[in-house]
Amino acid sequence: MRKVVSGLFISLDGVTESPDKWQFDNFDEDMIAEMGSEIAAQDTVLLGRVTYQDWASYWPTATDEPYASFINNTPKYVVSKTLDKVEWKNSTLIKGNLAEEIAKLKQQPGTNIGISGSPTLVRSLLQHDLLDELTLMVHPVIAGTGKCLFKDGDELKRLKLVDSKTTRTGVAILTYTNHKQGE
Amino acid sequence: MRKVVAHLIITLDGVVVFDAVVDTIVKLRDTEEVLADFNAKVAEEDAMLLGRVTYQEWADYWPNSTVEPFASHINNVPKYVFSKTLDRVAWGTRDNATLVKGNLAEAITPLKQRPGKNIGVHGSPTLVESLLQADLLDELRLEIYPVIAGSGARLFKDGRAPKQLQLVDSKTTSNGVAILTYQPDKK
Repeated sequence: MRKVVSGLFISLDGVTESPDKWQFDNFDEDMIAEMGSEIAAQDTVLLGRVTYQDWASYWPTATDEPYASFINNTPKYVVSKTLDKVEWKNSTLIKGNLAEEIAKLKQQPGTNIGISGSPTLVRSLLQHDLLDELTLMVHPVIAGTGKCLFKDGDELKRLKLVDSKTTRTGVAILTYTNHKQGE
Repeated sequence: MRKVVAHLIITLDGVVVFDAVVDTIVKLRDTEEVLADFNAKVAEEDAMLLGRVTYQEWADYWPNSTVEPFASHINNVPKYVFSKTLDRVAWGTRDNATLVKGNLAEAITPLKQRPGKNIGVHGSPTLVESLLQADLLDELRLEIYPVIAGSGARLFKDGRAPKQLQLVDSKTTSNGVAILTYQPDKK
């Protein structure tokens, strides 16, 4: 079955907000290759409301390839309880029960369903065991301020490290899956 | 010059005081792969810095411990305890713990200038964060455990200035611990 996967830029102090403020020179060739292989394995995108709103005003006219073509042309599902409609090309609003909607998407044929940005959605999926794979691209930076992926009060959870690599500028790319009981 | 090297056990969500998941972490840590890496680094050290909280917990435990090789190491090396509130420090029957009450940089600079091996910082996350902010830390070795703790004190405090580091070593163990070693860029 297709997987729900997330790849996030994250600082050493756990910040995922505004990576443009702390990414510095870490968006190197290895990172570009990593991002390329992530999107090549996806044919559907999930977005949280905040990322959708930021991106829907940027990407439709952007020319940063190959990501611009990918994100504009791929079917996008936007998870929001407050939006009434979504207008970006190929986007669909999901307002119902998240677990049911994701189960429906996963049963459809296709390659991976990738969550782009959207740390609040990622955290929620992780907490509800709806995320199959989480790739943290840990930047060698202390961001100092900004919203963190994990928050106090998250449910205690054991994960399994399934892949790791580092880029030439020192980003540690760590991929985790759910840890099944008994492993 | 000898380096100040901090070692911290940290969860995926950045928690360094992790009472809720301590059993899981102890089990993952008590493996040849993790301990061999840790012990090799500790063997390069011959002095130790401790914060008050870690000192108070450990001074009751390690002098009577037989968990080797760390018990012999910590009991035998000179220890410098940073605290503004303690009046004296002791370490079992040994006379090798020193209380440091003054300015961090003024205390550490002369220590670094003395001949010797590296100076380790163990536990003591508040001290580690202060050293990092004061550009007094030469190496930060994080053992990142594949666990979300959900609550507990975190290493990094909100509201600090951004800081870049260099990743100088990385390895992962077969049970999923990522050991990442950084050298902070200094001003």
